[in-house]
Order: sequence, then C-alpha cells, then structure tokens
Amino acid sequence: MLFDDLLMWSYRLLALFVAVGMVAVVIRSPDWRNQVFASLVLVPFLMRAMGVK
Amino acid sequence: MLRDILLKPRLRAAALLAAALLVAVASGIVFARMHEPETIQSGPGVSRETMLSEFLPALLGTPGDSPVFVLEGEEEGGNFLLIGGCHPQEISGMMAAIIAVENARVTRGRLIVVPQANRSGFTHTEPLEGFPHRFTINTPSGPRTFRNGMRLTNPVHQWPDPDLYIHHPSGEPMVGLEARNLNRNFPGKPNGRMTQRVSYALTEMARQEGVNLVLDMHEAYPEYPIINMLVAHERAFEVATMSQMMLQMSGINMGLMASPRQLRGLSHREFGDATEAFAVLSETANPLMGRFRGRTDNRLLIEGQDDNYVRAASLGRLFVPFTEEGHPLVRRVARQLATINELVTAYNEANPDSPVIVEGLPTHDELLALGIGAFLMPPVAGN
Repeated sequence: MLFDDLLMWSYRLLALFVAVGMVAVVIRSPDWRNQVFASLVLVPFLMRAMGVK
Repeated sequence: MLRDILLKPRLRAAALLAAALLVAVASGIVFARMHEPETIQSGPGVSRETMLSEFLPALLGTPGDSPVFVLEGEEEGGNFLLIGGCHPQEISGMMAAIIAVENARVTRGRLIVVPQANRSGFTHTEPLEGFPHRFTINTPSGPRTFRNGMRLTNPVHQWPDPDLYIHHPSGEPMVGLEARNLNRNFPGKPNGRMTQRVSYALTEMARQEGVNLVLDMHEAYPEYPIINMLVAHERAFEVATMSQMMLQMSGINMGLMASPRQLRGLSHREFGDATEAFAVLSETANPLMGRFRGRTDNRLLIEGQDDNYVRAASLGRLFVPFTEEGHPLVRRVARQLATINELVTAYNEANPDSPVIVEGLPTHDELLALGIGAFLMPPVAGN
C-alpha cells in the first residue's frame, strides 16, 4: 500500500506543479490569450492536485 | 473599471485567477460529492451487514471497501453470492442486487449480496462521454437517487495505469487500463493494487463463506456479441443450461456461452477455478453504453430508447432486437431478476441436499407490471 500511496502523492504533486506553473503564466504573461488559456488549464489541474478529480 | 481590468495585465490576471478559482470550487464541490458513500438500505430479510474489508483488512478505510449484505435462512443449505456493480455503469445488476437486499427472505441456506462490487467506479463517470452520474427512481414514498458510475476504478484511487497489465497469477497480458477493471483482476492479490485487492476480497469471501453459486450481473452495448446471455464456467454449465431453457420457455430470450478457458481475470472463469462455486455471469443490453447512441441523458439511461439504435437494428448491425420500445431499465432489471430466480431453481434441483430457498423476489412480470419503484424501500438520507 505504501508504494500506491507514493504513486498517488507523486501524481498530486505533479498536478500541483502544473497548477502553480499556470498561475505563474497568468500573472507574468502580458498576452491576454496566454492568460486565458493558462487559467483554463489551471482548473482541472487544481482539482487533480486536491485529489477531487 | 472593466476597461482597466481588460487592459491592465495584472488586473486581468487577478480577475482570471478569481474566475478560475470560482469554477474550480464550484465543480470541485460536484466532484467531491461523487466520492460520498452511497447509502444502501437493508431489507427485513437481511441477517447481517458487513464490508468487504472483513475478508481483506487492507481494504478498510479505502475507497475499494464496499457493503456486503447477508440474508440467512433458519435452515442450513447452500450459499449463493450475488454480485452487482462489478462494472458500475452497468446498472441493471446493481438495481437487481438492491432489490434483492430490500425484498428477499431466505428460508434455507444463505444469500450474500454485494450491490456495488467496484465502489470506486461509482465515484466517477467515463471521461468525455457525458454520462449522467445519478438517476432517480420514483417510489411510492418519494424519489430515490442512485449512482451511474464508470466501468473502471477511479484513477484518483489507483494511478498510474501500466503500459501493459499482467494478470496475476496467469501472466496473461492485457492493455494497461484493464488494471482498473475489476472483472479482469479476479482472483486478485491481497497485497496488490486496489482493484486487485477488491477482487481478492470477493474471491476470499467466496472461499471463506463456502459459496456454492455465484452470479455476476453485467450489461453490454447492443452492438456487442456477448449480450442477453449467460456465460458459465464448465462446472456450472449444466445448471446454466437449465436456467437458459426455463428463461426461453417463459419468453425471455437468453443465450448461453461457455467461459473461455484462456480468457483470464473474469468472474465466471476465476470464481470457478479458485473456489468450488458454480460461476455464472449474465449480460443485458444497455444502449447508453454504446457507440451508436444519440443524445446521452437520463432519459436514455432509464427509458433505453434511441432512434439511432432502431436504425442500426434495421440494418442488421446489432446482436439484440431494438425497436422503438428500446431496452428500458425496468426490463433489464426484470431480466436479471428472472435469471436469479431460474438459476437458483436450477441449482437447487441439481443440489437437493444444499439448496438455497429465496422468497420475496419479484418475478419478471411483476417488475414489468409494477415498476422498479414498487419494490424499493422509502428513501433515506444519502439516497
């Protein structure tokens, strides 16, 4: 079970990494297109990081 | 102000992040609710409720643990294991199992019912298919809501899928996502991944409880060849043949197929090989699962009517008849109940020293006449 837990936490950390990356793109990008797309990508990765979906 | 928000990058970022957070919270609440355990009520015939973790403690507290209902007669006899929800989008099996839990009374032997075998699969739906997650059945005491799930274990409970899934213990290779298919993991593994542990718990329960007869209830899409059919392990073939004949004589068209020896991981193969049980699997037709379907909504799930499938049937592309009447849920559940009744009767005739006497189950015609709701208990919190 420990191995399964490690895999699951790896998954959630990876998702969190992508979510944080998307937040950085939204904040730092001057282009509205990049900001909109990053905010769209952020939503499912945030939920994956929370383990909800 | 709106112009400032649209034109200034930092203000725009703040607005977009706020909107993203709002969407994530709103949809997250919906997805989180899908993980709440569903209440399954015990009927008057239930002697004992337990969980699968009784047979594998490693499942305790995990999303794979699932309720088990034991209906025990006063006299000793045979033991019949009834499985629904092995594939959680194949809901006629789950509904037939719930009707059994809420209505059946056993006078001899035992009936063990697992209505949601792959409980994790009920916490999500098939991605990109737009399946409804819940459906409602009207009862005389008000509506009851049930889950429509997905064939496989939820990936938030078991990740990642291997590139190639190797079945234990046969070594048969399968496509990676079958690692989350409960009906490809039997007999299971006690220290395996979650789906393997659920399979192991079910098999171990059959071993420990001395199960003599197993029926695993499934559904299939109308263009699939294994449909409206019983699939039986060789030990169960005679009993399954008798059941099929009786179903046919009562006007219920049912096929029969021998469990392929080389196809591993399925309940009809592995329960038969790993235990002394007569193992049978049943299939009914569910158009919601198919590729020809039109609008995917609760109406299709309940009424089972679809113009595309009527046309496909007229072109000879299906393995079941499909008219404007469709394959409504009530008819599919009625088929499952008829199969249960005939299988138990056939088993008892073949094993008169250890019968399972089950009363109170509605017949096929009773269910069609009165509807599913007539045989469901009043709704409680959680459903």
